[in-house]
Amino acid sequence: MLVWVGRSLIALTRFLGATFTLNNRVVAGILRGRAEYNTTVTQMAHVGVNSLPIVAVTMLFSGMVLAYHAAVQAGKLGATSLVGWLVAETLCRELGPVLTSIVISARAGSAMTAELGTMKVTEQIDALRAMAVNPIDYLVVPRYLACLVMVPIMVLIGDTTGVIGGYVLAVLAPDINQIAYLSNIPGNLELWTVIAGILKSVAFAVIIAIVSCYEGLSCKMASVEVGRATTRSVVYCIMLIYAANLILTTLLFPS
Amino acid sequence: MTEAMPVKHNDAIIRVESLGYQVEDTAILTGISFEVLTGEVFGVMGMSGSGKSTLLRCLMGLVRTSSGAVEIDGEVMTGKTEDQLNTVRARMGMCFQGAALFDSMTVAENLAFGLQRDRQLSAQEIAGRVAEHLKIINLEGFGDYMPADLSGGMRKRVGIARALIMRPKIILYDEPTSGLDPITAGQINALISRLRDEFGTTSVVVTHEVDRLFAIADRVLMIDRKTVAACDTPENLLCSEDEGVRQFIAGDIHGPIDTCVPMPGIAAVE
Repeated sequence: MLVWVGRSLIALTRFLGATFTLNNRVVAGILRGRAEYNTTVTQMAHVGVNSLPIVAVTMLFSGMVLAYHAAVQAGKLGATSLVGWLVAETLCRELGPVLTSIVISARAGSAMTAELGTMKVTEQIDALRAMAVNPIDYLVVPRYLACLVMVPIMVLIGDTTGVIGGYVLAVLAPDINQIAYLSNIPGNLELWTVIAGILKSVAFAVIIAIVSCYEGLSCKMASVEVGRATTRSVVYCIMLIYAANLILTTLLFPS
Repeated sequence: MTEAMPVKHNDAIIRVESLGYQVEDTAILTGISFEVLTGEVFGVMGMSGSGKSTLLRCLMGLVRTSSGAVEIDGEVMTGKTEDQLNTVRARMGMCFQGAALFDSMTVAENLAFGLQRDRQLSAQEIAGRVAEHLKIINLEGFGDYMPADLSGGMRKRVGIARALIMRPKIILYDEPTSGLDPITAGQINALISRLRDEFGTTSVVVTHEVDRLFAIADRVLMIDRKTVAACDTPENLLCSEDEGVRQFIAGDIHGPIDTCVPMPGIAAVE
């Protein structure tokens, strides 16, 4: 047991060190102006536009379920008029950034790992290096920038979709006042809550890009390893997003 | 086995001295020393798994050597950063065993990739150069195809054209003719010879196809047991007294080179 814990800790330290180093190299690449415009735009489409349907569906239903639970609990206190604010607050603080990022890591992050892993296995990464092209600049920087831009935008869209989902439930459910649902949001939802959610999503975007690209680039030279790397990248992304969310929540919303 | 003692030539474009490469505790190559002269077709042969492809990757700087030194076109490759290595790699081209084409790009885009990044040619000039190289490899009209739509031989030829199109001083070929029909293999060999004769391009060709290699190579290095077994002209190697060299060239299963792959239930191969 002790040996297992020790090995796991060493592996975790190595993983964090390697991803930290990759992040530094990517940031250095961005600062040196190595970003490829066309590739970055293509990756923005993959991360953002292509993930939009699944993000919208996830957040729509999450907003509806949230509104339902909020209505039941608020009804006991006679405060069903606050359901809209409760839904918006919960979405912007926690569920929007976390759920959207997890959905993007599962959809776009896994695709990044699989693509880079396949390139590694088929020697395409080595071909790039042999052609004097830095794979970090050419492959990772555009994906990193795409995540940095698109994940916060998707979180904003997800938050809005979730609030709309809650409103749809408010229209359908007789217990919730649909006018109060909307009118109570602007007065109660603080701007900082929305900004903090966006700040969280920036951190999650870095996690998705770096972990997904690192797992792809460090994939071993066998096709079966591409699948394993893809699974690992999604699992690590989700775990790191949860951990980062806890830390960021305590920092951004001190009690 | 005769230990090849390299003589230092002034016109050597590639110098390798006491090169060693190991993965964890397993040595893959030890004490490899040789020189490749400018404009030479230099062959590297040896058993499968003898480290020939690894040697090419060491020359290109794709793997870090464990010991020794590699000098390409007057620049020492060891200890350089990736960006520093790229300035040397820009003078080199490499054809990978499996072609390593970018599978998200068409054939024409694969060929144009290096030229577009170089940013010295106009789009029209790049298109002209791509068409010219498609003609060289007999794949005119295949520019819009995706690599997945091509046969293995076609992909290999595109990989060669992608290296040629940058007009490098040195081209490294990893098994350029393996898996190809005799006519296509002959065309590729003729192309390697033509590049030497017309442009003075230096080629390092790794293969275990002895006959094809001897037809084009000026000198051949043989790797056995992780190190240099012989390095000489094809004519001299054919007359070599070294039993290992003679065994490999003849393709004899009996001799000093260990050819036995342990198989369950089979004690020996007669």
